Amino acid sequence: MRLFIRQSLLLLLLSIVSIIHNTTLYADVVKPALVEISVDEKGHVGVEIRASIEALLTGINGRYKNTKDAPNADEYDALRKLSSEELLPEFKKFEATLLDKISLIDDNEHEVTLTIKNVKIPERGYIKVPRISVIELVGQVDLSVQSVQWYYPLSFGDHAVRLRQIDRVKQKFHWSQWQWLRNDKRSEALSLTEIVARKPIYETVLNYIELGYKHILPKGMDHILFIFGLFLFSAAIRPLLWQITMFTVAHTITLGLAMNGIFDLSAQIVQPLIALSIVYVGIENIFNRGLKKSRLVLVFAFGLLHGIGFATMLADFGMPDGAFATGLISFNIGVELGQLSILLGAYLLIGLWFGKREWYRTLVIIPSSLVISLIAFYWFIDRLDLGMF
Amino acid sequence: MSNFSKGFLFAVLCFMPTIALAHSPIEGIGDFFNGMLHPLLVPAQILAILALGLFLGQHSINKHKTTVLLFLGATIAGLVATLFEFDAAAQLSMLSLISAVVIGLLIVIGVKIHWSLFLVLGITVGFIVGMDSSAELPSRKAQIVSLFGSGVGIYFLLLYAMAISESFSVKHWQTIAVRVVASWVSASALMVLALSFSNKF
Repeated sequence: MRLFIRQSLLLLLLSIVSIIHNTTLYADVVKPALVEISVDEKGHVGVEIRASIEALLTGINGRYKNTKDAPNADEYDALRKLSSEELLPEFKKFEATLLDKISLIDDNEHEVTLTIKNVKIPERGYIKVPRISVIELVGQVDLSVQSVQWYYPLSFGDHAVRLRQIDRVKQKFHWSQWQWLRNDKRSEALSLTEIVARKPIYETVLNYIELGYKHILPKGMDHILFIFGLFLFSAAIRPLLWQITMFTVAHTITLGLAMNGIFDLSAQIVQPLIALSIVYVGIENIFNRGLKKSRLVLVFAFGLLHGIGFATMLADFGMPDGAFATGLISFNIGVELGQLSILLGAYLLIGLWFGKREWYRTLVIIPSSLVISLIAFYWFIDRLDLGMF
Repeated sequence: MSNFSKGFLFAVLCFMPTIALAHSPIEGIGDFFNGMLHPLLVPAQILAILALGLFLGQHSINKHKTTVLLFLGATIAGLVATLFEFDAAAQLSMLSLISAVVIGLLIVIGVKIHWSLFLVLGITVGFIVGMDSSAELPSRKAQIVSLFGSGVGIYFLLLYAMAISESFSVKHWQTIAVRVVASWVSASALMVLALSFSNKF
């Protein structure tokens, strides 16, 4: 039976490669916008907004974990299917609204007039991940201005902002720290004159731990199901610890490699494979009881895949200047804490109640694993984008 | 963890959601979790599932695993049936309450029934409760996600009730305690049933 399952999965893996070349896809996770403001010694302002124009146009913001959760998901999907040339005219209609709603305010409470200089929309690509376009704005601040504040409405989504002071004459520049804005308020004052002190290390650590944790709970439904699948395999602590250790070591390796640019794999391949890994874990829970080395090897391999998934997300958020390793380790700690929370929750809600009962396997493990596999199989097909859902 | 602690944790889990208004979706928690909490927010459902769980827990669950799996199957069938938009919410609630009264009384009396009747009870309660979980949501996808959540909620509610009842099936005083709880379940269901009749006429 196991041989049959493995062969079937291998067949599915091979089928991905053949299908992947011929895809017409629609989109996925709602990602935060990144805003970078540059001000030079002459008061020239440049603002770069990296965001999904499709999400901006449809008003799908951080309230939704996934674009498909939004009532106008079809509208988003239609926009996501457009080529860059086709999407640009749609954005042109939205320009006035964008300029009206965002603002850059100087320390005299004057709003800096911003105009759109350029819009770079990438080609369609793999549309299971958002297309991040770059909107470039320009403006001018008075030379007496000491600081500015940025406002980007929550209706456009969560975002992070930072400012770069540029001195072209002395050929120097300095980035401020990122400010993560989620509460529909202006940013804190971004100084144009002082070199802002580097954030204390503990703030970076906490920020990235939070980021890693939230990537698992509540945002990473696929990782939650994977960990839950590992939990269901056995009520005993030893097999669980082995599996979690293998998974953790593996995803740490690929996360580190991918974030250092040593290794990368397209989301088009990684995302369906992550879904498939969950299908496998569920199916193996149903047919196998004892922990074997082959399971550990597979969990390790799946961990490698999940690590690339984590890296994609972390790369979108960006790494702290001069604290790359700290950010990476903190993010990983956040991920581990998220995993431990899932295990703790699963133990309190399921293991504690049913783990030692005779009917645990028949009435809990098998039905739950079946459900996990079915959900993951739906994701797998969906991520392949055969146009079925 | 002692049985008392488990019972306390169960009670907390059961009563936490009652802060929200019954039968109305809770803002911001998502369709899946709204669906999952649905059986806890509808008295007729919680009473029927509790009664069945307590009943099975008193009769060696290991021998009645088929009943539980059939309950799950029937629940899924009932949930799928809601997609065809039958308008029978009132009747379904009444059937759930009648089931709760009957099963509650079976526990109280302590009568032994034929194994096939277990299957009938499992299928009946599962299907009724499943069909009574319709969700009025704007999109079909949201509706399916919510129904999926309801399925998980209904099944695990039954498992919790079964587990507690099974833990209270060893000593004589424990079985009496379960009978007392079952009588409350029966009485509560009867009261809600009477109220629904009085509203009708």
